[in-house]
Amino acid sequence: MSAKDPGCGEVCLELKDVGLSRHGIRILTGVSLQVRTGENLTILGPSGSGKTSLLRLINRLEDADEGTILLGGRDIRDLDPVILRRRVGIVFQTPVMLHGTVADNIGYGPALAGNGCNPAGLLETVGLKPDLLARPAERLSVGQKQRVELARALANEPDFLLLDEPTSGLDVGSAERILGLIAELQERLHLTVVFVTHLLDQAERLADRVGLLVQGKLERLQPRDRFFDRNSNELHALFSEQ
Amino acid sequence: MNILQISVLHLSLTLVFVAGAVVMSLWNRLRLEKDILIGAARTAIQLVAAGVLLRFIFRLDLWYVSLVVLAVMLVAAGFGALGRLGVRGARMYGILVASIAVASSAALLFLLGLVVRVSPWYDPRYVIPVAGMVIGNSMTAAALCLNRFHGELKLRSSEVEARLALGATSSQAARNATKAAARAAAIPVLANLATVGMVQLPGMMTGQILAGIDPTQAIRYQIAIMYVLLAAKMATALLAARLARGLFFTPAHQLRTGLLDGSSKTGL
Repeated sequence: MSAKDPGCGEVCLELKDVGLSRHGIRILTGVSLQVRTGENLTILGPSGSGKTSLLRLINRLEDADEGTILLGGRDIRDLDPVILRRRVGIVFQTPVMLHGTVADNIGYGPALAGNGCNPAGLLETVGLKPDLLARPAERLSVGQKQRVELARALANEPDFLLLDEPTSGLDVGSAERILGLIAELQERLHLTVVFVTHLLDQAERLADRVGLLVQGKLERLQPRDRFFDRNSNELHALFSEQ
Repeated sequence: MNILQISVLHLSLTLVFVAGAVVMSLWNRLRLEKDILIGAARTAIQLVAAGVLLRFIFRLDLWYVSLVVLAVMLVAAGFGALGRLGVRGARMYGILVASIAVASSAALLFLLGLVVRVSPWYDPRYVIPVAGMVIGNSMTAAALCLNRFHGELKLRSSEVEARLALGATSSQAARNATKAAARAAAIPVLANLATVGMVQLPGMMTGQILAGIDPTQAIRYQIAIMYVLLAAKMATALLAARLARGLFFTPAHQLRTGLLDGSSKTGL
């Protein structure tokens, strides 16, 4: 287990020289980073920089070709992947609703583990009214689906939340509400969040620390204020076309 | 009852129908003449060869010859099913042969041992044609099931991964795909059960009636075989889907997305 940093949470997730290739194409190269309990680590990167792949590796939806990922000091390949995924919730870029009602969706994870949950309470937590519970999940708006997906991930009571561009496809107002919700939930539930985005303003608003991922390489990882103070011109040039 | 024999000369009269098909193709510019002639020639050659071979095997009347024929059928059925699939390779072939073999053997042992009570147990006159029907039907079921299973996983890969990400095992995440695949394999045989005897008389029953067997006895065989085929096809499909899950998912309950879109191989 890594040492505790003064003034910050304990290191709970660590990536060491992580690399990934798919069909001969390099996706991630030598990514090393640490995530501390209770923080929001935002990975900022242009489209195609490997952000989603990085989250998939942490959730073990796929395995890295190189390097190790440690959760609580243990290699995630030594952990039961099913237990790991219950501890590390993920919200996908495009919300995927399971066939069934909103209540079925929210209750899916806990039911697998033989646990109960409070779907109405979780729905309220993400700012939706409980009268949606009986509605077929596939018929919700994109913004509602995004919130249900968040509630579904929270239903497993995870220690970590991996958020993959959770505002993509939303209008400005809905995106703003989701971001506010994430900040509020993180504080209220003491969640550790790894948030990936290609939008500078979202990183600036939510992050405690920001990592810049470009072409699969983590260029830098700094506390938010320092990150934006020192790199503002370069960042605006890099993200101007996004 | 005497069986009406067909002489080779009289059989050759049916070439009129092949010629008729060629004329229809020419007349309507279907460009099927070559296929019709090749198909007709193959039918004659393959069936003559099968007839000669079966007569030889029946005369030998040896247990190990019956088993060799069954093994050849099984190997051929594996290739037959594999040819209809989008994902191929040695492991997929193994899955096909294993699922067809297990389901067919159980069905054959029950049918020939307990229902028909064949004696001796390897009597090729019973074992080979019945095994041919069971293995052939299982082959179709395995191909239908795995095509659908692959298609469902590919079409719903996001949903399957969402389930995995919420803590589902590969078995739980693939449950809907397994159900859809098993249903796809079972539906044709269920349709057959509903219409048999009303629209057409099944081939085996027709053959027995033409060979002089009392129709009430022929229907007993037919009912038995239809029930056996129903269970054999469903068992083959469920077994094939279960085994294919080990191909499409890793032991760490990860969906092999590269395999679904054909960008990686199934090789051993």
